[in-house]
Amino acid sequence: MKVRGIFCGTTAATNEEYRTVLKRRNIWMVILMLAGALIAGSALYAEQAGKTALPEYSIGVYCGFGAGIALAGLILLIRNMILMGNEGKLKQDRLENSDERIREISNRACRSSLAILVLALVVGGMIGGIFEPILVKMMILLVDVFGLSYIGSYNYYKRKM
Amino acid sequence: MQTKIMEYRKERKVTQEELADAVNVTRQTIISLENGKYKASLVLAHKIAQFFEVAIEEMFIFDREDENL
Repeated sequence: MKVRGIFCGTTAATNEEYRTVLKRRNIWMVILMLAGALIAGSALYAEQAGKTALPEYSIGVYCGFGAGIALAGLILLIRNMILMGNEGKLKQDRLENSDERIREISNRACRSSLAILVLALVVGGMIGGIFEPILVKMMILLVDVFGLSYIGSYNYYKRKM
Repeated sequence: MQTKIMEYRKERKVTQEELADAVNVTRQTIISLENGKYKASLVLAHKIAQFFEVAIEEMFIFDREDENL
């Protein structure tokens, strides 16, 4: 089963336009790789230099997260390069990313996932808060961030449409 | 909303793949449109009608009750 990514949508109508989109995306992939390498490298350096008060577990998390996003960036960069060199595959990928039905599916999946995420956040925060009060504060902060970003985005698109 | 895509496609001997290629969508989208599982946007409806050289209202039939018209 193929699942299209949340940020993969495009309006490119030709292979040439889509190639430009992929070139722009590749810049983001390089930035992702560098950010990942920086996060993992900093955690490793801090651990080896003994200059961190972070527990072993947190260093592992930072290393894993950094290595993960760097690797994801590298894989997507290679994939995009392969696509750009093959007209048939490029066209197939362009159609799957620009198809209005697939974009509608992706939008609906995003809305459902968002509702589940907010619900999980609130329930998790309320239950977790019984044992760790910081979790309630975290929940309130994240729900506020969501609410504010929703209002901001809503007003932005209201002005655009 | 009903469509006459399948009728026109068969009449003109056009495959789903050819139509999908011409209007820049996947074959699955054409299948969903023909089955009535998905409603085309105005732009896609226009492209399909233009491909068959007919008016949009000839290709897509709006159900007055369903669409609250």
